[in-house]
Amino acid sequence: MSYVGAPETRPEMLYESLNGALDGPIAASIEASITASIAGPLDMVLFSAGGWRVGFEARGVRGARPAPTGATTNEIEALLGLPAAVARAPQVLAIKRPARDGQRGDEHDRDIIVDGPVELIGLPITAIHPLPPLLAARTRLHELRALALHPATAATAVLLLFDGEAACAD
Amino acid sequence: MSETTLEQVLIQRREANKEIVNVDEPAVKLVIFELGEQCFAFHGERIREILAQADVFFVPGCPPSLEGVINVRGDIESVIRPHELLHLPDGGAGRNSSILLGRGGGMSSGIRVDRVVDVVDVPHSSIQPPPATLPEHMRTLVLGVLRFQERPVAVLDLDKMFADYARGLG
Repeated sequence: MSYVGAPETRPEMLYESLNGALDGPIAASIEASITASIAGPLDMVLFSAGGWRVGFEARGVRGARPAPTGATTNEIEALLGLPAAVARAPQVLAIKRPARDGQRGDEHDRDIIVDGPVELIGLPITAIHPLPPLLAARTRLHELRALALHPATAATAVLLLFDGEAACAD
Repeated sequence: MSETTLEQVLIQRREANKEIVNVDEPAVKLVIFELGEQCFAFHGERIREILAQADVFFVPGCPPSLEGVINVRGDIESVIRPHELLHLPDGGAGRNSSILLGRGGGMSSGIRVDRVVDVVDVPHSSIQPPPATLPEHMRTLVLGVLRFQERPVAVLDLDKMFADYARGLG
């Protein structure tokens, strides 16, 4: 399935930010209350990078389109700290970035080539896990925020959830 | 004819029982395990669970001593291999290996050990201070030593182990 745009009209209160939800020493203790207070799943855009399934919050992604023929780059792997891999089905993700100097619109989006398939899924809150503290302390992946175990991934693989906006910032 | 009365016998027996109670000394629960050829232990209250089998999910971007994560009834825990921290050869997870779920220093993690030897209550007095001959890298990690089944056992400080690991050691 090709992803064409992130929904932007859902109430913000349903969207507990991945950053906000998982930061801080009380993350574990508030997980249960988050689960109870958030009605729906968290919309995530999934794609492949470095041979892994990766997720960005959908609200930080404007859209996706097929990459130009012959377009290959390992920019996304370098941004996330993942090993370089050849993209078999390259797609362009438009990552939203905050407007500067009062400018508006999508001129500040950053286009990143990722490997497909690109999917928009509703990830159940209960499938999202904060990083275990020792892993958080030792990971070399940039802006890795959480892990998920979900049927969308292979039985022996975890889904890597990143802060896409931070990873793709200048 | 004996001048001893039944009452005297009962008093004597009661006193004897009291003495037995009085010689009881505080016991310490230890989880004793092997890493390579050496025996170590953690205090029992630091170990929540011993998992003989668990599927470990590899996470990229971590040092080799971080084996991955496991799903423990819906919670994700990291699994570390403490061999390098203790300067011991790491032969990989063998058939007898287990994962100890430990908690210390405000953190929790699985700890891969080569074999769980026993979970025992030992008299507090059987644990001796660490010997001066202990290697430098072990001095801050060892709380005490004892002999168990004719083998020396070093009781490890799990708080310090986790803190050192989070700081990048091991």
